[in-house]
Amino acid sequence: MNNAVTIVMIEDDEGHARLIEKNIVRAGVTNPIVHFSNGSTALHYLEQNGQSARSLLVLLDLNLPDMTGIDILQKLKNDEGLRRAPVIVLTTTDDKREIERCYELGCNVYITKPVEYEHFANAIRQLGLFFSVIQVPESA
Amino acid sequence: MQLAPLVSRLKPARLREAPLFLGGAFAVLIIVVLASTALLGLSQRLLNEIDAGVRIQQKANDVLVLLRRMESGQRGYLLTGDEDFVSAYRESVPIIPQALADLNNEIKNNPEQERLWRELEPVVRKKLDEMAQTIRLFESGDRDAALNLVRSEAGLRYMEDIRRLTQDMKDIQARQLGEHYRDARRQEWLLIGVNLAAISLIIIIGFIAILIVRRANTAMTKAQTVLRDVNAELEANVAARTAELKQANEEIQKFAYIVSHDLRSPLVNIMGFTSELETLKGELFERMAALQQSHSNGSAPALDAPLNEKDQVLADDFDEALSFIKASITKMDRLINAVLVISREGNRTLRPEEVDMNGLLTNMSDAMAHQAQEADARIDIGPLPSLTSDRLALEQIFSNLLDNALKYLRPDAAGHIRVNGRTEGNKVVIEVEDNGRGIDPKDRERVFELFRRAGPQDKPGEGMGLAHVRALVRRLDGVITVKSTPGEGSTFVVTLPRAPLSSSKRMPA
Repeated sequence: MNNAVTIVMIEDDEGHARLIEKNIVRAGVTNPIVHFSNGSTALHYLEQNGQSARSLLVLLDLNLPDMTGIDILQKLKNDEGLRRAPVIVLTTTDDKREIERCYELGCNVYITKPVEYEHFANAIRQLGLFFSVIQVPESA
Repeated sequence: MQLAPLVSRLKPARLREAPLFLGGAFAVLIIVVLASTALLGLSQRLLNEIDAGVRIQQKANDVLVLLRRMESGQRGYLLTGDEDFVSAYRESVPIIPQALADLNNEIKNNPEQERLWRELEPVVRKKLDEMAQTIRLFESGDRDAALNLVRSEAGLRYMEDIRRLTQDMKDIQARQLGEHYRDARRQEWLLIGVNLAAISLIIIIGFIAILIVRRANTAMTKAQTVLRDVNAELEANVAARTAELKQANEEIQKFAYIVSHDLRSPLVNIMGFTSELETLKGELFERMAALQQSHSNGSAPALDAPLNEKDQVLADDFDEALSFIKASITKMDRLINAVLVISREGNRTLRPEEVDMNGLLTNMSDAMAHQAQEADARIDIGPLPSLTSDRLALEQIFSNLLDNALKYLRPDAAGHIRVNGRTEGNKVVIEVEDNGRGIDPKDRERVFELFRRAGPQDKPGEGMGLAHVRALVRRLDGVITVKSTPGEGSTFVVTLPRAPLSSSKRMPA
């Protein structure tokens, strides 16, 4: 993946965020990772940087203290500048309806965090692999 | 609205006496009819007596007239000697005994008349003798003797007596007739009175009967209204309760769902960082060994150096602690997943369809053939009734029960699992019977509880199978019970409605 792409991680659980970061790095992904633990600051950042030259990739948790990940997803997909940024939902919820809803709203990948760490690490590494092939559009 | 006062309002105190009243009315009518009949009988007898009285008067008159005729014949003959006169006398002689007998016959049972008769009869005989004697004397030519006999006035006195006596008889009869007529008239009035009373009674009874029927109708209508009210109330109550239950259930579902999700989140961290610790520990001890080696022999630290004994114990303790933590986390994850599965099952919409239970169970036992063979067990599926229910739920219920039956067999006996079914009214009963280890009486309720298991814990499992089964059976409006003899086997009895109680409803789990 182009190093110009910034990974925006919206995750309220510091532990999860750390584990995700660790495993992304282990997968050999060197892109900068920006972490937000609540929805509003994340949205603020995205709105500011959506207009800049940097391309963005969003890692989104659905359970946030101030809003749901679904709200953020909706806002992103309705924003002219951010619409094309890939969104990867990474959450503990494996409810079918929730998953369907996320895909309907335009998320690119939906990943459930497994408790089994082996699987968790594996999933993130696969995601890293995915990062290395995914083409992120240059923002406008 | 309370039921008790409503029901007491339905008690028609008067109505319960209605049969009694109607019975009484009927008895009164019968009495009236009997009285009328009796009165008619009495009238008949009176009429007969009146008839008899009239006949006595006639007969008495007949005797008097006959005697008068004989006397006038006798007198005429004595005066003129004309045979024409004596023929009138002679004609009457054979008739008079009959007339007397007739009169005697009529006055029987009439003491007053009989007394007069006893006076009359000798006088009549004397008169007849007198007349016969005068005629005999006259015919023998002794006209004077005959006339002397007449002049003696004995015959006149006899005749006068007879006239008086017959007149007395007629008078008595006239008096008695008068009494009889009075009686008859009184009876007539009585009859009319009785009949009028009967008619009034009938009208009154009819009126009261109409009143009773009207009151019964009013009571019935009232009862129906009350019943309708109670029913409506009841339905409203049931609907309200059902709604409350549904809401409570939905809240529980939501709660279970949220709790299990929120529990999972920290679990990911615990597991993740425990694994990270494990990796760190590996690296740490590797470096320790290498450092120790280089320290003892002065060489450069090598990564594959062995640990010394003390450090090895430390490393093993580390591993043990970590493996306990990880095993516990894995178990907790499984439990949370179990709660999730059940809570999710409760949210699923049931789709009732006609299910051939024979086919369903046979397919299931075929799929378990390998498992059964390993357990040295045989599964027999008896003829089973089909029912209309949710196929997925039924599959889950019976696969869990069969699975359990195979799982908890006795090692010392060949397993035999039988599935039998029958229809009971609008219910279907299916029994899953095994000859396995059985369940201790104190555990029979416990086995249906979430995360609870019974007997020796020598088989893997979360203790959720039967909890799930019971939740499913309840959702299908059924009941599951267990009969068991420890050491001999268990029978799980599933009773399900043959068709859903109301179509396509979402029942609480």
